[in-house]
Amino acid sequence: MIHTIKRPDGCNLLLEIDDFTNPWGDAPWLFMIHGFAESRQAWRAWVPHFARDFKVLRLDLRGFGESTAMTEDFPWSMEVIMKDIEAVVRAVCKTPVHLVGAKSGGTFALEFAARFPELVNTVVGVTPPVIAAQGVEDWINSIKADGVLAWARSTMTGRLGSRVSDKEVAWWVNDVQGRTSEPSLLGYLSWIPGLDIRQSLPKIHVPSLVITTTGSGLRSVESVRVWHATIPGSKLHVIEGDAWHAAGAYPDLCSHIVRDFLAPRLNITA
Amino acid sequence: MPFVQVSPHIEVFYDKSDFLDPWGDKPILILQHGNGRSGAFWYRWLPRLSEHFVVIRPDMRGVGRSSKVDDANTDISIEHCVTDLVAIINAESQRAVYFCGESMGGILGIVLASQFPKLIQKLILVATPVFISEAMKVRYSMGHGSRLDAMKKMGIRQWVLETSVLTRFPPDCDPALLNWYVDEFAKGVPEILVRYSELVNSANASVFLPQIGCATLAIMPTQGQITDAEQEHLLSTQVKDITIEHIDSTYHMIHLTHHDDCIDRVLKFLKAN
Repeated sequence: MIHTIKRPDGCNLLLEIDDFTNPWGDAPWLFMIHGFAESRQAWRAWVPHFARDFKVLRLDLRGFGESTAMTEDFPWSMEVIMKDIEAVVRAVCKTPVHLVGAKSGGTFALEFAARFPELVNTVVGVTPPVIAAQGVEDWINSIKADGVLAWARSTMTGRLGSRVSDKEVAWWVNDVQGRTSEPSLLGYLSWIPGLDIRQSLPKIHVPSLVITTTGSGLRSVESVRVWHATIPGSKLHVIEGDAWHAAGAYPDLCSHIVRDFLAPRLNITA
Repeated sequence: MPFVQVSPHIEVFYDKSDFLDPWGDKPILILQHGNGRSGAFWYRWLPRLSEHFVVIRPDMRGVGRSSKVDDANTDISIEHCVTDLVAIINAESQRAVYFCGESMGGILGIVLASQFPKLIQKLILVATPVFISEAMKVRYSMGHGSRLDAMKKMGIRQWVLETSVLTRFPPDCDPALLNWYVDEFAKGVPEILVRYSELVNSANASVFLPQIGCATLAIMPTQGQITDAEQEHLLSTQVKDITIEHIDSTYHMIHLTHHDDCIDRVLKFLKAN
């Protein structure tokens, strides 16, 4: 089921709900936030793992997917993204959610859990950058020079790992990242180098899990351990793999890890 | 959400759940509901099956999200329901699909597989009668002259509640499931529900059985009140390539009460070469 939520600035946020829970029940919400230059489509393989026990909500962040594209000069900020997520939780879910985010969507999920503990039951960040990755300038130059498609193609093997098939790369390039509006991308990239949520991490008091990979070209496991240790009581799961986008490259494995994390807190099997 | 226009005034709705890798193979499985229900009644089957298939759940014309019909007597027939399925398959697939029907949905599958063999790769019948026995017609009459009389005089909700307790759901089933089933069923337009009951009461799929060319699996309750031994004998002797499996129940709605057991068997059957 597709819904749209109109924000005060005119932006339409699109979200999709997959719900195969008992219709008379009060199933919990699993709220999924995709990463940079993606859309709710990035989560498609996750849905069957959760939709019998959770009402699964996949949001297209503003600027991405089928939500309204942003102009290049749009003043991106953590504040505006937090308010979008808050609006969707309050309007659609109406109860605290289990939040899962991938890549920068994981960063937003962690930040949201720190700011809105009353709206979050648990939070999972899959390969989240808590500090912006190096090389954003190169990405901006690449997109400006050669366009979104070429940029997506040139970065995809690092994102999805060395074992990814050509067909899989083609889908992510042509049907997900390559479809993102260029002004949205460029505006977002001009904001993202300042991203740093390390101050927020100690304020996360809901149960949390971070998933990272051993062979990410963007960050080492040790660098993740340093900031992860500042989240009270948080769990860390390290996957053997060389993708920096574990949620996209290893969706079934990640889904099992997240179910294992959530199962003791809910009346579901792992 | 997808619809197919099957006549100038009738649109048939089907829900399509596709979570498969877009770059991979996408086999289609159609789940067809039975008499008076809708695609919504398959919800328990979705997550597990959608890991392997694009799952399509049609609402028969007149029920669920399909358009209502002007004249139930002329607009609703087995032939119409089958050609509606043909329209959906043609809209969604270039090749044969897997088809699973429960109860009357299986009767449609039998007719479809026999009349349109190129469209169906494998057929699954869940608690599917070949015809409704005289004994069952009497039970569903609930002391009235006929099933249709009972539905009209008792009202749809009361009729479906009493017949569900009697034949569809075991006494130990979750009362919330029974309540939801009754409420959901009773959302239908009474004239349409009565017409479908009339159809299923008079249907007899025996003649189509020998013409089924594809591999077929029937999943039946051990002592079903609607699917009795005589019907299973017909299936096993008339369908060329059929496996009949049983789920331990004397009640009809095994696709809701024993969904995981059914799904295990469906997956095993569809995954086998």
